[in-house]
Amino acid sequence: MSARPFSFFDTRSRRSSLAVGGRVQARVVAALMIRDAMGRYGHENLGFFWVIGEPLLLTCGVMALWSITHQSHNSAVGVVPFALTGYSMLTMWRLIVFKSMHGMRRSANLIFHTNIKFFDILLARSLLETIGILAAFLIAYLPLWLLGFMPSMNDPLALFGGWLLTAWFAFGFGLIIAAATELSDALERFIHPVMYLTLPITGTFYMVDWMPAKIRDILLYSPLVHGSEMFRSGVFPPDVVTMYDPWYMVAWCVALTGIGLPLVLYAQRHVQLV
Amino acid sequence: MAVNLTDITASFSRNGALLAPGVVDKVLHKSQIKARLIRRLLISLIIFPVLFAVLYYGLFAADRYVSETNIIVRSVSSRRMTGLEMIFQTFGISRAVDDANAVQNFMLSRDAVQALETRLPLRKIFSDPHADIFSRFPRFWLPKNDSFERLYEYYLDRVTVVQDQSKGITTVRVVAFQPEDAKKIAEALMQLSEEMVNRMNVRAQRDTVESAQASVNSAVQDLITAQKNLAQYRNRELIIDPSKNSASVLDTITSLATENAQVLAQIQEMKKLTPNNPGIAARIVRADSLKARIDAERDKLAGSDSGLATKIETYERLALLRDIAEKGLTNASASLETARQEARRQQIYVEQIVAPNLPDQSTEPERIRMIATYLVVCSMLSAVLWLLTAGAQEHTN
Repeated sequence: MSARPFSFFDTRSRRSSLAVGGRVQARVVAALMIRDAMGRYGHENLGFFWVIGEPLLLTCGVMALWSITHQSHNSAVGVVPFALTGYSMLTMWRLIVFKSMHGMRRSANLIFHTNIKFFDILLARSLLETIGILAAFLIAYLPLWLLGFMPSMNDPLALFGGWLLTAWFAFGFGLIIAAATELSDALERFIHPVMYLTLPITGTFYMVDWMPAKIRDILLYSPLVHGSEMFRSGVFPPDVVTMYDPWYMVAWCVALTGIGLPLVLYAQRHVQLV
Repeated sequence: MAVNLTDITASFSRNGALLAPGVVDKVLHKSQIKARLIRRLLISLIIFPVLFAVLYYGLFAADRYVSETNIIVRSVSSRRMTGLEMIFQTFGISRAVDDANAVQNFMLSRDAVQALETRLPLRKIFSDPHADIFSRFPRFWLPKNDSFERLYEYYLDRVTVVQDQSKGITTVRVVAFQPEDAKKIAEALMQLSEEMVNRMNVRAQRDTVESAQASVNSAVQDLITAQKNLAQYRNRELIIDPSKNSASVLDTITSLATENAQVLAQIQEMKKLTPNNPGIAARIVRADSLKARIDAERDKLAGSDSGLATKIETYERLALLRDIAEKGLTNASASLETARQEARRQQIYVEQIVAPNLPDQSTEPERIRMIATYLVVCSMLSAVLWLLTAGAQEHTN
């Protein structure tokens, strides 16, 4: 039998080269992502595609609702793009954080594979949401753009960059949540109310430019506001004033990941197997 | 029980086996090939665009120069805001600044391009020899690429007008392949929009003042007619002011009545003192004639159709009409004056805060940023595509 070129266990993976290590890591994360999606949605009807379908339903539902009940405040900011951008971001942030709760405990049985680390599991989960909801956004965006409800992309770098930075921020926050919920079960009770109460500082429901200067300064402390402003600046024409600083977000992301990673390493010794 | 691996593989190779020899391998191999193909496609979706971006922006893309100018469109009159509007203003929910919108619209219109073409060799500027083939004006990949419509599309890519609604400042950015050209276009645009605004001003002034002027003219006509009617009436009736006439008649009646009363008293007195006085008869005649005179005068005042009372009625109607016409003229003149002032105040100006600059360094295209854009966008797109293909593969299995 010919050598399987993509085996986990072939000789190449034993070579301690960074490229090979990276390749294995990528394969592990990719496989975990597919496994996660399959585990969640199975083979029934849409199956895997519910990863995209679920957020798509939510964002489109909210979008339809808002476009009936809300009126556009501003000629440049339509209700439809406002709702779509806002809710895509919000969905990603909430899903990544909620999926990280007890994220280590739930997949602890996978850890017996040598190549899988807790970090991979958490990363795969966040990446799945990131890519799935982005796909949902793009799938919703394309027909709406063709029909003229969405403006054409003003700055794709800001759009995808804002998305990635928010995803990273949510992932970093998720790392801390995953580790913390493992260490203390009571913490889980706090996360839902906290997530709900912090809705106003996610930047979903307003543009910072609409706010009075004092509130604006306070809001801009929230990295999520930066993320959603950046994302929106990628969609809306330059007439719409957006305020964001990608480096501020990067600093937050690095800080959160820097706190989250050691916490996960510490917490994985305390994972209770279920 | 020890299982010999060669026995198991051999059992597949015998005739009538469930799977023909090598099928498992083949199936595995096929799916591997497919997976590899998809992976290579996805990776090439990242690599080729990024490679193109690196080559194009690194080597070929021509330098472009940006000339920028800030203008503010304002009128002399400051609109007073009510309380609620002020609250909304702070939340940024306010009416768009119409005049600035008009200027912005004009600068991005076909009219502006046409006017620019008469002043500057716009096509020549955009097809500068320094420009690379992808960014130069007649875009080679488009059909009918030399038409005015294409020029207009190209112009829209090179000129951006952004209005900051909270500050009211409009920023005009012109990109060209030579710094002087960018500056020239920006300056010409400024001139054109100033001319457009002036045209608007003249028109608005003419419109508002013209209607007020028209109402003044009609008021003057009304007054002239009323005055004429009154004069005609006076000439016809040979009377200047019937109310004054009636006053004099009343005076006459009063004095006649006084005299009559005196005469009557005298008669009574004489009858008592000297009943046979021959003067009594003469006095009685006098009293009678006085009485007749009084009646005649009364008749003049309010008797038949020619009586003064009917004349007063007509006269006062005409006089009232003239007074109304006079008042109308006064009002119309006042509103003409206000309209003139209003028109003067409503004039809009295009004020340059920053004059178009002459760039000494190229700032476009932003090469690193563009390469980063290609990298990020392509990776994200291929990640999304990977998810879709993975889902499709899982689905077919």
